[in-house]
Amino acid sequence: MACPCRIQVFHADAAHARQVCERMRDEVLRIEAKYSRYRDDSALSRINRSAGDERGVVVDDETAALLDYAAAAWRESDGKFDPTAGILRRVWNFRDRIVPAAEAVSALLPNIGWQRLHWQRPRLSLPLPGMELDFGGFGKEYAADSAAGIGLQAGIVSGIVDLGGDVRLLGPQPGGRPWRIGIRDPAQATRAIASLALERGAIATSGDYERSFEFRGQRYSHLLDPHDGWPVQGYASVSVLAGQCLIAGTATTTAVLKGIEDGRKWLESLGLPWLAVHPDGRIERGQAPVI
Amino acid sequence: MAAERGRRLAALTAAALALPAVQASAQFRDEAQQLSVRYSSYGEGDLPAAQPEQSRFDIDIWQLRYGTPILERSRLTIDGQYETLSGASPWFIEPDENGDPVQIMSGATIDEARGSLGLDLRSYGEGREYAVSLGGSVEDDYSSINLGIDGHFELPGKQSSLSLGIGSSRDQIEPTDGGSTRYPQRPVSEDKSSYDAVLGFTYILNPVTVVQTGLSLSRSSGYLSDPYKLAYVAGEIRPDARPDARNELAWTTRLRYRITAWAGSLHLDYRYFDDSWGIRSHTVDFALHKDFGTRLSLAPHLRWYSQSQAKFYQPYFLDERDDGYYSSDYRLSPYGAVTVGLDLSWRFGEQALRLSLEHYEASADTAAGDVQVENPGLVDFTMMTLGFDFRL
Repeated sequence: MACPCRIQVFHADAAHARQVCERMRDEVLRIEAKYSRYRDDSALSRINRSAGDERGVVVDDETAALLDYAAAAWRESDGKFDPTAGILRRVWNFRDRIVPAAEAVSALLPNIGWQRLHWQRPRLSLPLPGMELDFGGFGKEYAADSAAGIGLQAGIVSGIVDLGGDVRLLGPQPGGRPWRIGIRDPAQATRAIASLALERGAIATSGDYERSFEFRGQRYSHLLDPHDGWPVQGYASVSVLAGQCLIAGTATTTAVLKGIEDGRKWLESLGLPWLAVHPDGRIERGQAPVI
Repeated sequence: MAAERGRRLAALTAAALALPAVQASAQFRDEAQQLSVRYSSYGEGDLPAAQPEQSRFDIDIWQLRYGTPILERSRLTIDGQYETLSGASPWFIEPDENGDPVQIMSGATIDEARGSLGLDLRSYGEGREYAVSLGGSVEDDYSSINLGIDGHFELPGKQSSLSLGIGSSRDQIEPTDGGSTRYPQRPVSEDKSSYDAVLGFTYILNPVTVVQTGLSLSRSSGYLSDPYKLAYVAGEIRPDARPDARNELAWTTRLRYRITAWAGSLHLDYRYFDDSWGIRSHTVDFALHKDFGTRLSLAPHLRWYSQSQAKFYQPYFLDERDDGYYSSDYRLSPYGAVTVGLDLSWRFGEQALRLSLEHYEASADTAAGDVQVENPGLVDFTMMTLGFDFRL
């Protein structure tokens, strides 16, 4: 995974803890391999290679359930959460800080939109040759939940799975101390802008971290609106607490993509605790008090 | 907004829970061993107008619970309870010269101890749970064993679940001094048995609202009278005599509503009860659970109860009844009751401290219907419980 990841578990039997920890790590690696865009042998690459073929591909149960989840997230987020939007990366180069030509962005839009693909369990087809799926918006979160599930089933009641800021807790630290989860300052990634004490559940953060840039006085975040293909002007970062990391991740990704006003409405409609950082560094908290 | 709120989260949660790995992490069983200890002190208020003027029951209750994972996907819970009881209880009611009821208390102070043990073996599967439970209790004059099985099943869609259970118990009653020259009418040995069945349905309306409704039916037969109570019948004192069968029906509905913005939840319960002895009752229970940070929670609650009387109940009987049934037991009288209580729980690490206080007052005034004569033996009590929960 292209991020610092940490799995930490506690159990009275150190050998058991080590063994469970390894199984959890293997689970994360399994999911990463299965849904990686970069590996030709991944299940995701197989799907993407089928783009343009109306017959599509038959997917396994796990992928089917993830696609069902993505469909629900797309529908509930009014299309802001869209795993087909990843192709915008082809024109947006955040590393070299290049703003693409408007025509180049527009040219991709016909290939974006979950409503364009055909998903009829167990068969998925991407009818247009340029279409592509990207599990980046939920694969890591799903891996955190899945690894945590292995730990919990093996009797671990104290532990943490932190996949680059997508965190799932298996219970408080030994002695019942809550975990302290720092929220990175969008303006200065090495600094925490807030810190939360949590014992269980999950937290995910989406934000406009180091990958945004300024060009001719205009700030371009790497968060791209699937509807027009351009960077969104919204919260600099949003963190959401939920029972599952998958849900926390969807909540925060969508909140950032909706812009400040609609993002706030979306977060309030979920009823989950949240914390957002405005572009000027101001912190806003959701009405749910945990955060 | 309110309808929208939660609906979205419910849709996402339902989709997430369809993922096997997420399901596993959401519904893990508790692998820890748990030990809970409780001590309760229960004290009934005195009856100043009773004769002889005596303290009513004081009960000290010790409870121990131990739960541990066992076998593959199962959990065993063992409950032990020991209580000591002392005090006097209402014996019978006599009319005074104005016809007003006067409570006569059992002369002697009763000192008794009771022990009980329960085992519950629960097995978990994908979306289902089965349990077998076995229990028994012993005291000087009473012993009881019970057996039950129950099951919980998630229904398709995972928004709702069904619970089913059946149980049976057998009790043996050997009243103190039964058949003695002092109490010749008191039975020597009696027994009773009962069967019950429950059917419950739980529905998750949205992530913050759960509704549960259940119907329970039971039938008891055998000796259902109270061997220590008497009734005044046309100038004579006769043993408490009740029908030898009783059918009961209870319908309970519970609402749980989580107020996310307030870090608390609202519990509202209603129970309707109806039996073949003519008692009909209503219970409304309202509780607020509020978290203060991650350590402390407080839960004040208020309960109102009202029942109508059994067909064969009267404070005292001026005439004989054709069916030969007589009872002046306050528990079969028409009355209402109000309970106020406060539960406190303080978690520190794997441990939790629990404290609860409850005060109960029964009277004719709080009954739903019109009560002509209040039973003078109605009870008021205060109960204090102190407990610790440990995860081992």
